[in-house]
Amino acid sequence: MTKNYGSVNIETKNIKVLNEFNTVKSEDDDLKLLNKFDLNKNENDEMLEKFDFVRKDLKFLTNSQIRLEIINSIANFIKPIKDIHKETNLPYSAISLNIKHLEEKGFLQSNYHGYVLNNLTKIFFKEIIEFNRSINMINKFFDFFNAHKFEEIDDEFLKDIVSLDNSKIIESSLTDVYKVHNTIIDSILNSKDIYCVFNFIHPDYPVIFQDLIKNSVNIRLLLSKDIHFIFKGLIGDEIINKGLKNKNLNLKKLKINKNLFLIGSTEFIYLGLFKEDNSFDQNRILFSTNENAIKWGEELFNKIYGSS
Amino acid sequence: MAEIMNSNEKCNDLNLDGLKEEPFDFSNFQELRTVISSESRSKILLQLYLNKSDLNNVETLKNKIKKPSPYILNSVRQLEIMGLIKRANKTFYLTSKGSIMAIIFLKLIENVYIFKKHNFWTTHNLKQIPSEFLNHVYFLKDGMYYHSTNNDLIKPLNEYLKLIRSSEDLNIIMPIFSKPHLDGIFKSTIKNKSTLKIIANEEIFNLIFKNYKKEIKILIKRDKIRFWKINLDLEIFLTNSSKFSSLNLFFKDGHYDDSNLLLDKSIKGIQWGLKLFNHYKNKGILIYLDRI
Repeated sequence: MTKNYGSVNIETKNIKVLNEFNTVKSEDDDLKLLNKFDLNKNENDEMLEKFDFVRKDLKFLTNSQIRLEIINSIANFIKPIKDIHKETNLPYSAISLNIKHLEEKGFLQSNYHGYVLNNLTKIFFKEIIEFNRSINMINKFFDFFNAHKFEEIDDEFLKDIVSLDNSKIIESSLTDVYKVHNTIIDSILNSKDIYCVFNFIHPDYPVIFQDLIKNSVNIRLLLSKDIHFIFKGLIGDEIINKGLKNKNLNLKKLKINKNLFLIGSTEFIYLGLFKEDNSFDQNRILFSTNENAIKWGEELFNKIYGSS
Repeated sequence: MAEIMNSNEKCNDLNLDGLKEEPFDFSNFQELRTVISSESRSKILLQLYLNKSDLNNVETLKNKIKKPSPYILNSVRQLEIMGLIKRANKTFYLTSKGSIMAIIFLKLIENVYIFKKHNFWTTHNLKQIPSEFLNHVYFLKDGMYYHSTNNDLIKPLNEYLKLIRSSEDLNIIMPIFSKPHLDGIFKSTIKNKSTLKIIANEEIFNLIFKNYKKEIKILIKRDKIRFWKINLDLEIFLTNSSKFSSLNLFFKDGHYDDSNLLLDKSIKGIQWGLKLFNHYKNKGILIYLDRI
Protein backbone atom coordinates (compact mmCIF):
# COMPACT_ATOMS: atom_id res chain seq x y z
CA MET A 1 0.00 0.00 0.00
CA THR A 2 2.75 2.43 0.91
CA LYS A 3 4.35 3.87 -2.15
CA ASN A 4 7.10 6.32 -2.77
CA TYR A 5 6.31 9.11 -5.13
CA GLY A 6 9.10 10.94 -6.91
CA SER A 7 7.40 14.27 -6.83
CA VAL A 8 4.81 14.99 -4.25
CA ASN A 9 2.25 17.46 -5.41
CA ILE A 10 1.64 19.55 -2.40
CA GLU A 11 -0.56 22.55 -2.99
CA THR A 12 -0.84 25.21 -0.42
CA LYS A 13 -3.24 28.03 -1.11
CA ASN A 14 -3.08 30.27 0.40
CA ILE A 15 -6.43 42.27 47.42
CA LYS A 16 -6.29 42.47 50.16
CA VAL A 17 -3.09 41.23 48.88
CA LEU A 18 -1.65 38.88 51.43
CA ASN A 19 1.77 38.67 49.97
CA GLU A 20 3.92 35.91 51.39
CA PHE A 21 6.91 37.60 49.79
CA ASN A 22 6.93 40.22 52.44
CA THR A 23 9.93 42.23 51.44
CA VAL A 24 9.49 42.34 47.69
CA LYS A 25 6.76 44.91 48.00
CA SER A 26 4.76 46.09 50.93
CA GLU A 27 1.07 45.33 51.09
CA ASP A 28 0.32 49.00 50.47
CA ASP A 29 2.46 48.99 47.35
CA ASP A 30 0.54 46.00 46.07
CA LEU A 31 -2.78 47.65 46.77
CA LYS A 32 -1.69 50.80 45.01
CA LEU A 33 -0.57 48.77 42.05
CA LEU A 34 -3.84 46.88 41.89
CA ASN A 35 -5.93 50.00 42.33
CA LYS A 36 -4.21 51.38 39.29
CA PHE A 37 -6.01 48.76 37.24
CA ASP A 38 -8.68 50.35 35.16
CA LEU A 39 -11.52 48.07 34.17
CA ASN A 40 -11.66 49.63 30.73
CA LYS A 41 -7.97 49.28 30.16
CA ASN A 42 -7.00 47.29 27.18
CA GLU A 43 -6.16 43.71 27.92
CA ASN A 44 -2.62 43.98 26.67
CA ASP A 45 -1.77 46.81 29.01
CA GLU A 46 -3.36 44.81 31.79
CA MET A 47 -1.03 41.92 31.01
CA LEU A 48 1.96 44.23 31.33
CA GLU A 49 0.65 45.42 34.68
CA LYS A 50 0.18 41.85 35.81
CA PHE A 51 3.80 41.28 34.88
CA ASP A 52 4.80 44.26 37.00
CA PHE A 53 2.94 42.73 39.91
CA VAL A 54 5.01 39.51 39.83
CA ARG A 55 8.19 40.72 38.11
CA LYS A 56 10.40 41.20 41.15
CA ASP A 57 9.50 37.82 42.61
CA LEU A 58 10.20 36.03 39.34
CA LYS A 59 13.43 37.93 38.92
CA PHE A 60 14.67 37.13 42.41
CA LEU A 61 13.91 33.44 42.09
CA THR A 62 15.43 32.99 38.64
CA ASN A 63 18.41 35.28 38.95
CA SER A 64 20.59 32.68 40.62
CA GLN A 65 21.09 29.06 39.74
CA ILE A 66 22.19 28.36 43.32
CA ARG A 67 18.90 29.69 44.67
CA LEU A 68 16.93 27.53 42.26
CA GLU A 69 18.98 24.48 43.20
CA ILE A 70 18.25 25.08 46.88
CA ILE A 71 14.54 25.57 46.18
CA ASN A 72 14.57 22.44 44.06
CA SER A 73 16.12 20.51 46.92
CA ILE A 74 13.49 21.53 49.49
CA ALA A 75 10.52 21.71 47.13
CA ASN A 76 8.84 18.70 48.68
CA PHE A 77 10.75 18.02 51.87
CA ILE A 78 11.82 20.00 54.88
CA LYS A 79 15.61 19.79 55.06
CA PRO A 80 18.51 21.08 57.11
CA ILE A 81 21.47 22.73 55.38
CA LYS A 82 23.52 19.53 55.75
CA ASP A 83 21.04 17.56 53.63
CA ILE A 84 20.77 20.34 51.04
CA HIS A 85 24.57 20.29 50.75
CA LYS A 86 24.58 16.50 50.40
CA GLU A 87 22.00 16.64 47.65
CA THR A 88 23.28 19.62 45.68
CA ASN A 89 27.04 19.58 46.34
CA LEU A 90 26.86 23.34 46.72
CA PRO A 91 29.33 24.87 49.20
CA TYR A 92 27.95 25.45 52.71
CA SER A 93 28.72 29.17 52.47
CA ALA A 94 26.70 29.58 49.25
CA ILE A 95 23.77 27.63 50.71
CA SER A 96 23.75 29.66 53.93
CA LEU A 97 23.95 32.99 52.13
CA ASN A 98 21.18 32.18 49.68
CA ILE A 99 18.95 30.67 52.34
CA LYS A 100 19.40 33.87 54.33
CA HIS A 101 18.29 35.92 51.29
CA LEU A 102 15.33 33.63 50.61
CA GLU A 103 14.27 33.74 54.25
CA GLU A 104 14.64 37.52 54.47
CA LYS A 105 12.40 37.93 51.46
CA GLY A 106 9.82 35.52 52.83
CA PHE A 107 10.26 32.75 50.29
CA LEU A 108 11.03 30.13 52.91
CA GLN A 109 10.85 29.54 56.62
CA SER A 110 12.89 27.57 59.07
CA ASN A 111 12.00 25.44 62.02
CA TYR A 112 13.84 23.04 64.29
CA HIS A 113 14.17 20.45 61.51
CA GLY A 114 15.34 22.66 58.68
CA TYR A 115 13.97 24.81 55.89
CA VAL A 116 10.66 24.70 54.11
CA LEU A 117 9.23 26.68 51.20
CA ASN A 118 6.12 28.80 51.54
CA ASN A 119 3.17 27.65 49.49
CA LEU A 120 3.45 30.62 47.19
CA THR A 121 7.14 29.91 46.56
CA LYS A 122 6.28 26.31 45.76
CA ILE A 123 3.69 27.43 43.25
CA PHE A 124 6.07 29.96 41.70
CA PHE A 125 8.75 27.31 41.47
CA LYS A 126 6.38 24.84 39.89
CA GLU A 127 5.48 27.41 37.24
CA ILE A 128 9.15 28.24 36.66
CA ILE A 129 9.87 24.52 36.17
CA GLU A 130 7.12 24.34 33.59
CA PHE A 131 8.47 27.42 31.81
CA ASN A 132 11.96 25.95 31.87
CA ARG A 133 10.72 22.66 30.46
CA SER A 134 9.00 24.55 27.66
CA ILE A 135 12.23 26.39 26.82
CA ASN A 136 14.16 23.12 26.82
CA MET A 137 11.58 21.61 24.53
CA ILE A 138 11.59 24.53 22.11
CA ASN A 139 15.38 24.30 21.91
CA LYS A 140 15.30 20.53 21.50
CA PHE A 141 12.96 20.90 18.52
CA PHE A 142 14.44 24.16 17.30
CA ASP A 143 14.57 23.11 13.64
CA PHE A 144 10.94 22.09 13.78
CA PHE A 145 9.67 25.34 15.25
CA ASN A 146 12.13 27.78 13.72
CA ALA A 147 11.02 29.58 10.56
CA HIS A 148 7.75 27.73 10.55
CA LYS A 149 4.23 29.03 10.83
CA PHE A 150 2.19 28.04 13.82
CA GLU A 151 -0.34 30.84 13.87
CA GLU A 152 -2.90 28.19 12.99
CA ILE A 153 -2.47 26.70 16.45
CA ASP A 154 -4.41 28.65 19.07
CA ASP A 155 -2.38 30.33 21.79
CA GLU A 156 -4.29 28.20 24.26
CA PHE A 157 -2.55 25.14 22.81
CA LEU A 158 0.82 26.79 22.39
CA LYS A 159 0.71 27.63 26.09
CA ASP A 160 0.70 23.87 26.65
CA ILE A 161 3.36 23.14 24.07
CA VAL A 162 5.34 21.34 26.77
CA SER A 163 2.82 18.50 26.37
CA LEU A 164 4.82 17.60 23.25
CA ASP A 165 8.00 17.30 25.28
CA ASN A 166 8.43 13.56 24.87
CA SER A 167 7.97 13.64 21.11
CA LYS A 168 10.54 12.97 18.47
CA ILE A 169 11.15 14.52 15.10
CA ILE A 170 11.01 12.24 12.11
CA GLU A 171 13.14 13.62 9.33
CA SER A 172 13.77 12.54 5.80
CA SER A 173 17.34 11.72 4.90
CA LEU A 174 19.37 11.31 1.74
CA THR A 175 18.90 7.59 1.94
CA ASP A 176 15.24 7.76 2.85
CA VAL A 177 13.68 10.82 1.31
CA TYR A 178 10.11 9.66 1.89
CA LYS A 179 10.65 8.59 5.48
CA VAL A 180 8.16 11.14 6.85
CA HIS A 181 5.38 10.16 4.49
CA ASN A 182 5.96 6.43 4.82
CA THR A 183 6.06 6.55 8.62
CA ILE A 184 2.74 8.38 8.74
CA ILE A 185 1.12 5.94 6.33
CA ASP A 186 2.31 2.95 8.37
CA SER A 187 0.75 4.41 11.49
CA ILE A 188 -2.52 5.23 9.75
CA LEU A 189 -2.83 1.75 8.31
CA ASN A 190 -2.49 0.22 11.77
CA SER A 191 -5.11 2.41 13.41
CA LYS A 192 -8.61 1.64 14.50
CA ASP A 193 -9.57 5.27 14.82
CA ILE A 194 -8.05 8.32 13.27
CA TYR A 195 -8.51 12.06 12.96
CA CYS A 196 -6.83 14.27 10.40
CA VAL A 197 -6.58 17.89 9.42
CA PHE A 198 -4.89 18.62 6.13
CA ASN A 199 -5.09 20.98 3.24
CA PHE A 200 -3.28 19.07 0.54
CA ILE A 201 -3.76 15.68 -1.09
CA HIS A 202 -0.98 13.21 -1.37
CA PRO A 203 -1.62 10.74 -4.19
CA ASP A 204 -1.59 7.87 -1.64
CA TYR A 205 -4.33 9.34 0.53
CA PRO A 206 -7.48 8.53 -1.48
CA VAL A 207 -6.53 4.86 -1.82
CA ILE A 208 -5.62 4.58 1.83
CA PHE A 209 -8.79 6.27 3.04
CA GLN A 210 -10.91 4.11 0.74
CA ASP A 211 -9.49 1.06 2.49
CA LEU A 212 -9.89 2.56 5.96
CA ILE A 213 -13.54 3.37 5.31
CA LYS A 214 -14.20 -0.11 3.93
CA ASN A 215 -12.47 -1.64 6.97
CA SER A 216 -14.75 0.29 9.36
CA VAL A 217 -11.96 2.38 10.86
CA ASN A 218 -13.42 5.39 12.67
CA ILE A 219 -12.32 8.44 10.71
CA ARG A 220 -12.76 12.13 11.41
CA LEU A 221 -11.52 14.17 8.51
CA LEU A 222 -11.21 17.92 8.31
CA LEU A 223 -10.24 19.17 4.89
CA SER A 224 -9.68 22.62 3.51
CA LYS A 225 -12.33 24.04 1.21
CA ASP A 226 -10.07 23.68 -1.81
CA ILE A 227 -9.50 19.98 -1.52
CA HIS A 228 -12.73 18.86 0.16
CA PHE A 229 -14.53 18.46 -3.16
CA ILE A 230 -11.53 16.91 -4.95
CA PHE A 231 -10.91 14.44 -2.14
CA LYS A 232 -14.53 13.31 -2.13
CA GLY A 233 -14.33 12.83 -5.88
CA LEU A 234 -11.17 10.75 -5.65
CA ILE A 235 -12.60 8.46 -2.97
CA GLY A 236 -15.90 8.11 -4.76
CA ASP A 237 -19.50 8.72 -3.71
CA GLU A 238 -20.21 5.06 -3.11
CA ILE A 239 -17.51 4.60 -0.49
CA ILE A 240 -18.13 8.02 1.08
CA ASN A 241 -21.82 7.21 1.46
CA LYS A 242 -20.96 3.82 2.91
CA GLY A 243 -18.76 5.47 5.56
CA LEU A 244 -21.41 8.04 6.38
CA LYS A 245 -24.12 5.39 6.57
CA ASN A 246 -21.99 3.16 8.82
CA LYS A 247 -21.12 6.23 10.86
CA ASN A 248 -17.42 5.45 10.75
CA LEU A 249 -16.69 8.50 8.60
CA ASN A 250 -17.09 12.11 9.63
CA LEU A 251 -16.08 14.48 6.89
CA LYS A 252 -16.03 18.21 7.46
CA LYS A 253 -14.91 21.25 5.55
CA LEU A 254 -12.70 23.81 7.26
CA LYS A 255 -14.34 27.21 7.42
CA ILE A 256 -10.98 28.85 6.95
CA ASN A 257 -8.04 27.02 5.43
CA LYS A 258 -5.46 26.01 7.97
CA ASN A 259 -1.79 25.69 7.23
CA LEU A 260 -1.56 22.77 9.58
CA PHE A 261 -1.08 19.05 9.29
CA LEU A 262 -2.40 17.04 12.19
CA ILE A 263 -3.04 13.33 12.26
CA GLY A 264 -3.77 11.43 15.43
CA SER A 265 -5.43 8.52 17.07
CA THR A 266 -5.71 7.13 20.59
CA GLU A 267 -2.15 5.86 20.15
CA PHE A 268 -0.17 8.59 18.41
CA ILE A 269 -0.03 12.11 17.10
CA TYR A 270 1.75 13.60 14.08
CA LEU A 271 2.11 17.35 13.79
CA GLY A 272 3.46 18.98 10.66
CA LEU A 273 4.04 22.68 10.13
CA PHE A 274 4.18 24.92 7.11
CA LYS A 275 7.21 26.99 6.30
CA GLU A 276 7.14 30.76 6.22
CA ASP A 277 6.71 30.63 2.43
CA ASN A 278 3.42 28.71 3.01
CA SER A 279 4.74 25.41 1.70
CA PHE A 280 4.34 22.29 3.81
CA ASP A 281 7.58 21.07 5.31
CA GLN A 282 7.45 17.48 4.13
CA ASN A 283 10.93 16.73 5.42
CA ARG A 284 10.19 16.80 9.13
CA ILE A 285 7.28 15.98 11.33
CA LEU A 286 6.78 15.75 15.04
CA PHE A 287 5.65 12.38 16.29
CA SER A 288 4.63 11.21 19.72
CA THR A 289 3.01 8.29 21.48
CA ASN A 290 3.10 10.10 24.81
CA GLU A 291 -0.22 10.37 26.64
CA ASN A 292 0.01 14.16 27.14
CA ALA A 293 0.85 14.75 23.51
CA ILE A 294 -2.00 12.51 22.34
CA LYS A 295 -4.40 14.42 24.58
CA TRP A 296 -3.04 17.74 23.31
CA GLY A 297 -3.55 16.67 19.69
CA GLU A 298 -7.05 15.34 20.30
CA GLU A 299 -8.10 18.55 22.04
CA LEU A 300 -6.60 20.67 19.28
CA PHE A 301 -8.44 18.63 16.67
CA ASN A 302 -11.71 18.89 18.60
CA LYS A 303 -11.32 22.63 18.84
CA ILE A 304 -10.78 22.99 15.08
CA TYR A 305 -13.48 20.41 14.36
CA GLY A 306 -15.95 22.23 16.57
CA SER A 307 -15.42 25.49 14.74
CA SER A 308 -15.68 23.94 11.27
CA MET B 1 3.87 26.48 57.82
CA ALA B 2 4.59 26.59 61.48
CA GLU B 3 3.36 23.10 62.18
CA ILE B 4 5.96 20.68 63.43
CA MET B 5 7.42 18.42 60.83
CA ASN B 6 10.03 15.78 61.09
CA SER B 7 13.18 16.20 59.10
CA ASN B 8 12.68 15.15 55.48
CA GLU B 9 8.97 14.80 56.09
CA LYS B 10 6.99 15.41 52.97
CA CYS B 11 5.35 18.83 52.78
CA ASN B 12 1.93 17.60 51.91
CA ASP B 13 -0.35 20.58 51.55
CA LEU B 14 0.35 21.27 47.92
CA ASN B 15 0.38 18.91 45.04
CA LEU B 16 3.75 19.04 43.35
CA ASP B 17 3.42 15.79 41.48
CA GLY B 18 6.28 15.02 39.19
CA LEU B 19 8.45 17.74 40.56
CA LYS B 20 11.14 15.51 41.98
CA GLU B 21 10.68 12.80 39.42
CA GLU B 22 11.77 15.30 36.81
CA PRO B 23 14.56 17.37 38.36
CA PHE B 24 15.12 20.92 37.24
CA ASP B 25 17.12 20.80 34.03
CA PHE B 26 19.58 23.69 34.06
CA SER B 27 20.88 23.17 30.52
CA ASN B 28 19.06 26.25 29.23
CA PHE B 29 19.12 28.15 32.49
CA GLN B 30 20.92 31.15 30.97
CA GLU B 31 18.13 31.52 28.44
CA LEU B 32 15.47 31.40 31.13
CA ARG B 33 17.41 33.90 33.18
CA THR B 34 17.97 36.21 30.24
CA VAL B 35 14.24 36.39 29.57
CA ILE B 36 12.84 36.57 33.09
CA SER B 37 15.43 38.42 35.08
CA SER B 38 15.60 41.58 32.97
CA GLU B 39 12.67 43.96 33.04
CA SER B 40 13.43 45.48 29.66
CA ARG B 41 14.05 42.18 27.85
CA SER B 42 10.87 40.70 29.30
CA LYS B 43 8.85 43.75 28.39
CA ILE B 44 10.22 43.94 24.87
CA LEU B 45 9.25 40.33 24.33
CA LEU B 46 5.75 40.97 25.69
CA GLN B 47 5.33 44.23 23.78
CA LEU B 48 6.30 42.60 20.47
CA TYR B 49 3.82 39.82 21.09
CA LEU B 50 0.92 41.71 22.64
CA ASN B 51 1.13 44.74 20.38
CA LYS B 52 2.15 43.16 17.09
CA SER B 53 0.34 45.80 15.10
CA ASP B 54 2.40 48.65 16.58
CA LEU B 55 5.35 49.94 14.61
CA ASN B 56 7.79 48.46 17.07
CA ASN B 57 10.93 50.49 16.46
CA VAL B 58 13.37 51.78 19.07
CA GLU B 59 11.26 54.88 19.64
CA THR B 60 8.09 52.89 20.34
CA LEU B 61 9.91 50.45 22.61
CA LYS B 62 11.55 53.36 24.43
CA ASN B 63 8.15 54.91 25.14
CA LYS B 64 6.43 51.66 26.07
CA ILE B 65 9.19 50.27 28.25
CA LYS B 66 10.19 53.66 29.62
CA LYS B 67 13.92 53.07 29.35
CA PRO B 68 16.52 55.09 27.42
CA SER B 69 17.42 54.10 23.85
CA PRO B 70 20.89 52.62 24.58
CA TYR B 71 19.28 50.38 27.18
CA ILE B 72 16.64 49.28 24.69
CA LEU B 73 19.21 48.65 21.98
CA ASN B 74 21.32 46.54 24.30
CA SER B 75 18.30 44.44 25.31
CA VAL B 76 17.21 44.08 21.71
CA ARG B 77 20.69 42.89 20.75
CA GLN B 78 20.64 40.19 23.42
CA LEU B 79 17.22 38.99 22.34
CA GLU B 80 18.46 38.90 18.74
CA ILE B 81 21.46 36.80 19.79
CA MET B 82 19.07 34.38 21.49
CA GLY B 83 17.11 34.14 18.24
CA LEU B 84 13.95 35.52 19.80
CA ILE B 85 13.57 38.67 17.72
CA LYS B 86 14.55 39.86 14.28
CA ARG B 87 14.56 43.26 12.64
CA ALA B 88 13.49 44.60 9.28
CA ASN B 89 13.50 48.27 8.29
CA LYS B 90 14.38 49.32 11.81
CA THR B 91 11.31 47.56 13.16
CA PHE B 92 11.50 44.59 15.47
CA TYR B 93 9.49 41.38 15.22
CA LEU B 94 9.40 38.13 17.11
CA THR B 95 10.85 35.07 15.43
CA SER B 96 8.78 31.88 15.61
CA LYS B 97 10.83 30.81 18.62
CA GLY B 98 10.33 34.26 20.16
CA SER B 99 6.56 34.03 19.67
CA ILE B 100 6.32 30.68 21.44
CA MET B 101 8.57 31.97 24.17
CA ALA B 102 6.30 35.01 24.64
CA ILE B 103 3.20 32.81 24.76
CA ILE B 104 4.59 30.47 27.42
CA PHE B 105 5.91 33.46 29.33
CA LEU B 106 2.42 34.97 29.35
CA LYS B 107 1.06 31.74 30.79
CA LEU B 108 3.68 31.86 33.53
CA ILE B 109 2.75 35.46 34.34
CA GLU B 110 -1.00 34.82 34.34
CA ASN B 111 -0.67 31.80 36.62
CA VAL B 112 1.67 33.30 39.18
CA TYR B 113 -0.32 36.55 39.15
CA ILE B 114 -3.46 34.69 40.26
CA PHE B 115 -1.62 32.78 42.95
CA LYS B 116 0.00 35.90 44.31
CA LYS B 117 -3.05 38.13 44.09
CA HIS B 118 -5.53 35.78 45.74
CA ASN B 119 -4.44 34.24 49.00
CA PHE B 120 -7.30 31.79 48.50
CA TRP B 121 -4.71 29.60 46.77
CA THR B 122 -1.94 29.83 49.31
CA THR B 123 -3.90 29.57 52.53
CA HIS B 124 -5.68 26.36 51.62
CA ASN B 125 -4.75 22.77 51.09
CA LEU B 126 -4.29 22.22 47.36
CA LYS B 127 -3.13 18.62 47.44
CA GLN B 128 -6.29 17.34 45.73
CA ILE B 129 -6.02 19.76 42.85
CA PRO B 130 -3.84 17.88 40.37
CA SER B 131 -0.78 19.66 38.97
CA GLU B 132 -2.34 19.84 35.55
CA PHE B 133 -5.17 21.95 36.97
CA LEU B 134 -2.93 24.24 38.99
CA ASN B 135 -0.96 24.74 35.81
CA HIS B 136 -4.14 25.98 34.13
CA VAL B 137 -5.28 28.18 36.96
CA TYR B 138 -5.18 31.09 34.50
CA PHE B 139 -8.45 29.67 33.17
CA LEU B 140 -9.91 31.14 36.37
CA LYS B 141 -8.54 34.62 35.77
CA ASP B 142 -12.05 36.11 35.69
CA GLY B 143 -13.09 34.35 38.89
CA MET B 144 -14.66 36.27 41.76
CA TYR B 145 -13.63 35.57 45.33
CA TYR B 146 -16.32 35.83 47.99
CA HIS B 147 -15.32 36.08 51.62
CA SER B 148 -17.36 36.03 54.79
CA THR B 149 -17.40 39.37 56.53
CA ASN B 150 -18.34 40.34 60.05
CA ASN B 151 -21.55 41.80 58.64
CA ASP B 152 -22.33 38.81 56.53
CA LEU B 153 -20.88 35.55 57.76
CA ILE B 154 -22.69 33.40 55.23
CA LYS B 155 -22.06 35.56 52.17
CA PRO B 156 -20.27 32.76 50.24
CA LEU B 157 -23.09 30.31 50.99
CA ASN B 158 -25.73 32.81 49.91
CA GLU B 159 -23.89 33.53 46.66
CA TYR B 160 -23.66 29.81 46.06
CA LEU B 161 -27.34 29.16 46.71
CA LYS B 162 -28.33 32.10 44.52
CA LEU B 163 -26.45 30.54 41.61
CA ILE B 164 -27.74 27.05 42.26
CA ARG B 165 -31.31 28.28 42.11
CA SER B 166 -30.97 29.52 38.56
CA SER B 167 -28.67 26.80 37.27
CA GLU B 168 -29.53 23.76 35.28
CA ASP B 169 -27.55 20.51 35.35
CA LEU B 170 -25.12 20.34 38.26
CA ASN B 171 -21.85 18.40 38.58
CA ILE B 172 -20.65 18.34 42.15
CA ILE B 173 -17.63 17.01 44.00
CA MET B 174 -19.08 16.84 47.52
CA PRO B 175 -16.60 16.39 50.37
CA ILE B 176 -18.99 17.41 53.16
CA PHE B 177 -22.51 16.79 54.37
CA SER B 178 -24.03 20.24 54.65
CA LYS B 179 -27.81 20.62 54.93
CA PRO B 180 -27.92 24.24 53.71
CA HIS B 181 -26.01 23.29 50.56
CA LEU B 182 -27.81 20.02 49.90
CA ASP B 183 -31.28 21.45 50.58
CA GLY B 184 -30.59 24.09 47.94
CA ILE B 185 -29.09 21.62 45.50
CA PHE B 186 -31.97 19.11 45.68
CA LYS B 187 -34.65 21.78 45.71
CA SER B 188 -33.34 23.52 42.60
CA THR B 189 -32.61 20.26 40.74
CA ILE B 190 -36.18 19.06 41.30
CA LYS B 191 -37.72 22.44 40.54
CA ASN B 192 -35.62 23.06 37.41
CA LYS B 193 -36.08 19.47 36.21
CA SER B 194 -32.35 19.29 35.74
CA THR B 195 -29.76 16.55 36.26
CA LEU B 196 -27.64 16.15 39.37
CA LYS B 197 -24.29 14.38 39.30
CA ILE B 198 -22.47 13.93 42.60
CA ILE B 199 -19.11 12.44 43.50
CA ALA B 200 -18.67 11.61 47.19
CA ASN B 201 -17.05 9.06 49.46
CA GLU B 202 -19.00 6.31 51.19
CA GLU B 203 -19.65 8.22 54.41
CA ILE B 204 -21.03 11.33 52.67
CA PHE B 205 -22.93 9.20 50.17
CA ASN B 206 -24.68 7.28 52.98
CA LEU B 207 -25.61 10.48 54.79
CA ILE B 208 -27.03 12.05 51.63
CA PHE B 209 -28.92 8.88 50.79
CA LYS B 210 -30.36 8.65 54.31
CA ASN B 211 -31.40 12.30 54.56
CA TYR B 212 -32.66 12.93 51.02
CA LYS B 213 -34.48 9.68 50.22
CA LYS B 214 -37.61 11.41 49.00
CA GLU B 215 -35.74 13.81 46.71
CA ILE B 216 -33.50 11.06 45.37
CA LYS B 217 -36.54 8.90 44.56
CA ILE B 218 -38.05 11.73 42.52
CA LEU B 219 -34.81 12.19 40.61
CA ILE B 220 -34.39 8.44 40.03
CA LYS B 221 -37.90 8.34 38.61
CA ARG B 222 -36.96 11.12 36.22
CA ASP B 223 -33.59 9.48 35.49
CA LYS B 224 -31.95 12.73 36.56
CA ILE B 225 -29.42 11.67 39.16
CA ARG B 226 -26.01 10.01 39.03
CA PHE B 227 -23.76 9.15 41.94
CA TRP B 228 -20.12 8.19 41.87
CA LYS B 229 -18.60 6.77 45.00
CA ILE B 230 -14.95 7.48 45.48
CA ASN B 231 -12.54 5.79 47.85
CA LEU B 232 -10.97 9.01 49.05
CA ASP B 233 -11.62 11.62 51.72
CA LEU B 234 -12.29 14.48 49.40
CA GLU B 235 -10.98 17.94 50.27
CA ILE B 236 -12.39 20.04 47.46
CA PHE B 237 -15.95 21.18 47.06
CA LEU B 238 -16.51 21.85 43.38
CA THR B 239 -19.76 22.69 41.69
CA ASN B 240 -19.94 22.98 37.95
CA SER B 241 -22.81 23.82 35.64
CA SER B 242 -23.14 25.29 32.18
CA LYS B 243 -23.21 28.71 33.84
CA PHE B 244 -20.45 28.62 36.44
CA SER B 245 -17.80 26.73 38.36
CA SER B 246 -17.42 27.27 42.08
CA LEU B 247 -14.76 26.05 44.44
CA ASN B 248 -14.43 25.81 48.21
CA LEU B 249 -11.27 24.41 49.71
CA PHE B 250 -10.07 22.99 53.02
CA PHE B 251 -7.68 24.66 55.41
CA LYS B 252 -4.27 23.12 55.89
CA ASP B 253 -5.44 21.75 59.26
CA GLY B 254 -7.99 19.60 57.45
CA HIS B 255 -11.10 21.67 58.22
CA TYR B 256 -13.55 22.74 55.56
CA ASP B 257 -13.52 26.48 54.89
CA ASP B 258 -17.02 27.79 54.29
CA SER B 259 -15.88 31.40 54.46
CA ASN B 260 -14.16 31.62 51.07
CA LEU B 261 -15.70 30.83 47.73
CA LEU B 262 -14.26 31.13 44.24
CA LEU B 263 -16.84 31.63 41.57
CA ASP B 264 -16.13 31.78 37.87
CA LYS B 265 -18.74 32.31 35.18
CA SER B 266 -16.36 32.49 32.22
CA ILE B 267 -16.26 29.77 29.55
CA LYS B 268 -12.72 28.91 30.55
CA GLY B 269 -13.65 28.72 34.22
CA ILE B 270 -16.56 26.44 33.42
CA GLN B 271 -14.27 24.24 31.31
CA TRP B 272 -11.73 24.06 34.15
CA GLY B 273 -14.41 22.96 36.60
CA LEU B 274 -15.91 20.39 34.26
CA LYS B 275 -12.51 18.85 33.60
CA LEU B 276 -11.78 18.63 37.31
CA PHE B 277 -15.17 17.00 37.88
CA ASN B 278 -14.47 14.48 35.13
CA HIS B 279 -11.02 13.82 36.55
CA TYR B 280 -12.56 12.65 39.84
CA LYS B 281 -15.52 11.01 38.15
CA ASN B 282 -13.08 8.72 36.35
CA LYS B 283 -11.65 7.67 39.72
CA GLY B 284 -15.07 6.84 41.13
CA ILE B 285 -17.54 4.01 40.71
CA LEU B 286 -20.98 4.72 39.32
CA ILE B 287 -23.67 3.68 41.81
CA TYR B 288 -26.91 2.31 40.46
CA LEU B 289 -29.25 4.04 42.87
CA ASP B 290 -32.36 2.25 41.68
CA ARG B 291 -30.83 -1.04 42.83
CA ILE B 292 -30.22 0.17 46.37
